[in-house]
Amino acid sequence: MPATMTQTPAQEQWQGEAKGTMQLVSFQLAQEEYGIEITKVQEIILMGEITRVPQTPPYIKGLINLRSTVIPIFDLRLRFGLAEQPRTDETRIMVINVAGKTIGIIVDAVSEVLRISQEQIAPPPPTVAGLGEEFLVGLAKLENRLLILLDIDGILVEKELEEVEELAANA
Amino acid sequence: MTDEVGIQDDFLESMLGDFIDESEGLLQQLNENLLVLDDWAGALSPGDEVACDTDLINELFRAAHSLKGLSAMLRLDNINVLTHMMENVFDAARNGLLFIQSETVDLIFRAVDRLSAMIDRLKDPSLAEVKTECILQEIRQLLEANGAQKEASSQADAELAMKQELKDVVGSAEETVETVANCVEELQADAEHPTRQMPDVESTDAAAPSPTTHFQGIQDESDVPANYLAIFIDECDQSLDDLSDLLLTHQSDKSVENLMITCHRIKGSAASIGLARPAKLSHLMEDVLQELLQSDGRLTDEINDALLTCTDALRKYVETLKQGDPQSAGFENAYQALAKARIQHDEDPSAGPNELVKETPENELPASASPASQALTDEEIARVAEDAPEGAHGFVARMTFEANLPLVELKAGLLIERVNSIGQIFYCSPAETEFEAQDNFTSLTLGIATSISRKNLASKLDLAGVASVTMTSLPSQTSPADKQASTPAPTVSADVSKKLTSEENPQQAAPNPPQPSEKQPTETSRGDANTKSQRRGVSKPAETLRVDIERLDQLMNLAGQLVINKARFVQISDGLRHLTQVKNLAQSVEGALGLVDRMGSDLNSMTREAQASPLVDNISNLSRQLRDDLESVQKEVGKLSEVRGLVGDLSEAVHQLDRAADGIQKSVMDTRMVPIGPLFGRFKRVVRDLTRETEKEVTLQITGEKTELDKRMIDELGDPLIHMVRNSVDHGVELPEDRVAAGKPRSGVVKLDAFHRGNQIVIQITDDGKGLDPAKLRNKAIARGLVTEADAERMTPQQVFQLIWEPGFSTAEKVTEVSGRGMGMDIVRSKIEELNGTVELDSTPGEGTVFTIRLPLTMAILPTLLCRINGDVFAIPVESVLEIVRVRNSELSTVRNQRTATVRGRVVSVVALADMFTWNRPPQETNAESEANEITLVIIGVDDKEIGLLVHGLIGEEDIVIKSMSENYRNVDGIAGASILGDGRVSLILDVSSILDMSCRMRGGPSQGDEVAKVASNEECAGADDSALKLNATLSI
Repeated sequence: MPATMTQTPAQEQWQGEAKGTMQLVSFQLAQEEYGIEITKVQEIILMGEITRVPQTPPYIKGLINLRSTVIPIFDLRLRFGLAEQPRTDETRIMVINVAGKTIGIIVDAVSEVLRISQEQIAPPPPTVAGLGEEFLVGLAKLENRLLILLDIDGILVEKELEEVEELAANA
Repeated sequence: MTDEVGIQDDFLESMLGDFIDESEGLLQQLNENLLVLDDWAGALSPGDEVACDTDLINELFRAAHSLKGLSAMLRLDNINVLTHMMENVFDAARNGLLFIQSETVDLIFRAVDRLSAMIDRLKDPSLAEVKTECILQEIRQLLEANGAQKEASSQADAELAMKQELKDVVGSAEETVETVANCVEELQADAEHPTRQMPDVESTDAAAPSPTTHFQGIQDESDVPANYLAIFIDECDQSLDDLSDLLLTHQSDKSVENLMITCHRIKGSAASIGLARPAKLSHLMEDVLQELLQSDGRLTDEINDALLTCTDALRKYVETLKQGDPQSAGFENAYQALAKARIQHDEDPSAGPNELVKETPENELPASASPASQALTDEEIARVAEDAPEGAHGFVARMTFEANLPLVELKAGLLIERVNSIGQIFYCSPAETEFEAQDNFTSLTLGIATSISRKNLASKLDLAGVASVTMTSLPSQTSPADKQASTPAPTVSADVSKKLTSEENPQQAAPNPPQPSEKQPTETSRGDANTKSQRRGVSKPAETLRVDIERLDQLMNLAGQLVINKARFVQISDGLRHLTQVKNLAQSVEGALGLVDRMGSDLNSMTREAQASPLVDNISNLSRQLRDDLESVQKEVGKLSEVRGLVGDLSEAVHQLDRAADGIQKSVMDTRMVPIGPLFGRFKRVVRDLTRETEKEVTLQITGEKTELDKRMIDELGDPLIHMVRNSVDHGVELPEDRVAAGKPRSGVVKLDAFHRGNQIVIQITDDGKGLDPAKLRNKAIARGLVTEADAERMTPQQVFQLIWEPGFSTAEKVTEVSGRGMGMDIVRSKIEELNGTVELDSTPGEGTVFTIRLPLTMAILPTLLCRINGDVFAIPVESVLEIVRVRNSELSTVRNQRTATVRGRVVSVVALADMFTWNRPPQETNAESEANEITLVIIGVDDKEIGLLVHGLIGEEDIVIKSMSENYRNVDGIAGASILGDGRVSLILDVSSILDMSCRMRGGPSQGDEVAKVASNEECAGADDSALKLNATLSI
């Protein structure tokens, strides 16, 4: 897990891959719509029983068994500092591949798969402050709405290292 | 020149894996033999010039040579050059040109290190490039220096000769270029001097039919270790398949090259384990192909057929080898067929390029200094021929050296070696052993039994410094009677003309072979019969199959899943059995039916006695209906008992599945098991180097090499073991003077041992050094702030020793180059714990130290105790479970606010997991099974520490498959990993040693068993109160 991961290479990557068009999976989280590159999404599954794990930050819901592989489940709401939402019929786990690992993220709902072109992507405005700003790599302008593009690698990396250190310090 | 460049096509790439495999074995062999050599050299006083054990040097030479050959094949130039240099050193040593001394061994050791670094780099290209120039230069200097010792003026020449030789080998192809060049020369010369062709023709005639020689004197080594034999068989099978494939589809030019590579592989692997017969045959195949490659690169049908015959013969040999009784009967025919085909090809003028080559035919070499000695007289030839093996085909050759040639005996040695590579020397004048003693060494006469053609032999013999070569074919002999009657063979000068049959069909030209070749097999089989009886006792070698370890991992994974599913089946069938426990039902139904019948008959008698009333009718109707219903129920119940029967079958089947699954799991585990011997073997070298660096005398004793461990575990154990061995040598064993002063033998002993104990593998590293000093450790730990002074006072020596595992603890006063680098002991421990193992240390001051590593048999499957704590299911490794006890609440006592229980007289602290773990959400189900006045404790312990873990329910013992948490997430304190239960849920595996640490930390400072209570300080009282409260709370739910 590279500790030196910054946003710049991620942004470049987005713009680099955005030549022509790219496919995104969009999902809902607290009234916002986010997008993740489709190549990172392995599958979308229903919520099942999650085994809790001690000594982890609150946004780690625990572990599940995905066809004999044990993967951690991140609650994206908690990760972004939002209030937890009770499970609904729409709640899904998106299984994504990040930095060589397979993880699941809990989202309010998965909306659609869409194709956007490079012109539609704008860099994140420097003044933007809001949900998950630190994972934001750009905005995609759709016809009548905005899609927040996520640097999903960041979700796994940055804050967690701090927390590990924190835990170590506490101990 | 980088080594990677050469590897371009898939074929070579697949060979690279083989090369790496093989080279590891060879490196090991080199290292081991060098160690022996080193001991030998160490015993010499400086300046001694004693030739050493030739067998040993020969073995070293062979290893270097094999590496050289393999690397040349793969065009790994750096490796090739280095191994070649090493080979030169050994060669010089065995020829008595160089006397091995400690420095020499050191130099070679360093070369071997470079070599293994280069091979490592092949495995992992990201490693730094290995520089070899320095070491090459040093070896060069060594060789030059020794060359100079012999003859002051020969330096330049030695260098030259070496370069020449180097050239020969760097690409084995170059050698063949020479060969071909020589062929071409001859062809041209032949064209100019037609008469000279005749002896050639003569020789070709004789070349084919020489049935009795080639394999007669060659014996396979009979005591080949079975495991090597198995590897050989395995490899050879594959190579032979490749050969057949290639031969049957030989259209592309490339196939010749591939064929050659394959033949070389067979040759190499056969020769390396001493199977001289297949090695010789495949060598010839390779030669033929090499020539072919250099000429026009196309296979003629004859050669193709001959090669197929050879392949079949080899295959037959391998088949019989598998039975433990190798038969090389087919070799002779195959050999002849190939020799014939080759000669035909050689004689075919269109076969080789004719131009471009300078003209120096052998007979027109500069006039020799002593022409008289050059010519071979008939008598001489006859004398040589007498020594020839029966029926041998070959030549008498006389090489005359240039006048005043320096290092002439070296040249002669080289000549002999070259000839040995292509045939057999049966006559040698002067004798090889007298080379050095020769005052006026001007010519060498050899009797050579070979099947290669004259011009090839000539090219082999034509070295720089050889002024002229004279060759005469031997008379062909088929029987002793013939031999006596036969007249001397035709010589070069003889005009056995009119046999200009260069185009002649060899089948006709060789009328002799069939008979002798018929005779030959009987001889060989007789010989084999002898070897057969010798080998009766030798077990049949196991056949092996090389498998990618990834596949084994996958198989292991699947076996793990099978184990999980099996557990699920067992659960289901148990549940079903409980559900179908309905024995009384059938009887109840039967009884009810009886009652209904009685009721019916009663009603009937009622209707007969009394007048029919509608009410009674109604009742009897109802009773009939009831009876019908009951009958159908009885049918259903009957089915139910069928179901019960089926459930019985099911549990029988599940039971069998259980056994099969266990069997599969065990076999898969067995497949992954490899002996620890080679890993231990590496330490011989480590210890040797260490003794040099530290000026200590240490003997390494190895036992239990045959103990088998999981391959992955062996891979992971290398680093921690090296560190512990280094520690033992560097910190444990004293300097010789100190040892003598302490009344011990000068030389210290470090022992490596491995053995099975129960379900574990134990590895021990023992030294007889000074041991650990508890007082010193204690002071150090206090100085480092690892323990408080008060705590340290209370610790037993045993506890103090364990402090060395703490991070940042190093016992050496000064950090030496040896132990100071690399990992600390804390990393050693964490490495071992990653393997689900434990490591302990015990020491007696003045007597030594013992490290004991305990490992589970396999890394993937772990026997555990499943238990429920606050609604979560946890797996506790069975190894760490000391006992399970139920304790009445009233028996719990609170010692200084720490809840403790008395178990069989021991005081055990009671720990609730909830106190140690911080959860980010509440348990999913609250625990409902609290029996108010009894609790269950699972007493877990590692080393001498133990705690009683409070559990709320025991589920049972189960083998689980360990899934690493860090694979998709990261490691978590107190958790060793996750596993999937029979019902598909994930459960966590408790990391017992870290839980013990956590419980200590919770209470502050190291604390053990019955000392627990004393340690608690005021500050922790609050915490302990809390935990006691929580404990009560959980109990009262």
